[in-house]
Amino acid sequence: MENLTEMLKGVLEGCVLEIISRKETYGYEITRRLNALGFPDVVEGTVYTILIRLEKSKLVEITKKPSDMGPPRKFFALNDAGREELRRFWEKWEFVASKINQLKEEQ
Amino acid sequence: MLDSFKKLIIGDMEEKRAYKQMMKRVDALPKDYRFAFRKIQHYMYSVGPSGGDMTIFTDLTMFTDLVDLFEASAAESRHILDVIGNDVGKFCDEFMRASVANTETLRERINKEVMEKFNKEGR
Repeated sequence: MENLTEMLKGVLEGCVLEIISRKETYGYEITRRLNALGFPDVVEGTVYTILIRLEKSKLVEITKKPSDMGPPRKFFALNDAGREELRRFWEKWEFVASKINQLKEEQ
Repeated sequence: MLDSFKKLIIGDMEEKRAYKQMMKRVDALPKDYRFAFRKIQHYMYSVGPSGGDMTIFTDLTMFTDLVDLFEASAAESRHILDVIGNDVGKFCDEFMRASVANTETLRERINKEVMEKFNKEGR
């Protein structure tokens, strides 16, 4: 679905954390995963911006690995603080989702 | 003494060298990427970061991060718009916001100042 940017804004960071938690990965792979999931508007730059923020907040560990094409890639893995942040994200998500569904079904 | 005097007159040589080196990397990008980079840089200098922390322009980390992204994407021949999206201004704002160090932003300062005032006086 398109034009979700505004709505996705608050949860995209949580989505990126979740994807990284599954396996160590890099920016473009995360972008493609989100596109395949049904968010075509998410571009590489958006994910890269989130990754910079995660790095500044010290939620990820970074390893540089050579790539077949171009400069070495930065691979991201969650550290303990990142895992804790992800747990809090899902907690908040469950709360918001349940309240919004409640509102929808209340009529 | 002489060093600080030189700095005052001609600026920090190290900073200038780092900036020139970074711009050389920009010049080496494919032309679509180069065009986008210059537009983005111009926009960022014009509007400034939302938190008002101008140090992101002198420390260069933000711009080198951007060059890193562009080099990697260009090497895999992706279209520039698949990297920065259609709302480029928004991309710039978000990018600057992510790059501002964890210092107190103007927004945090106004919150603190107003809250302190009313917490002191009660509601």
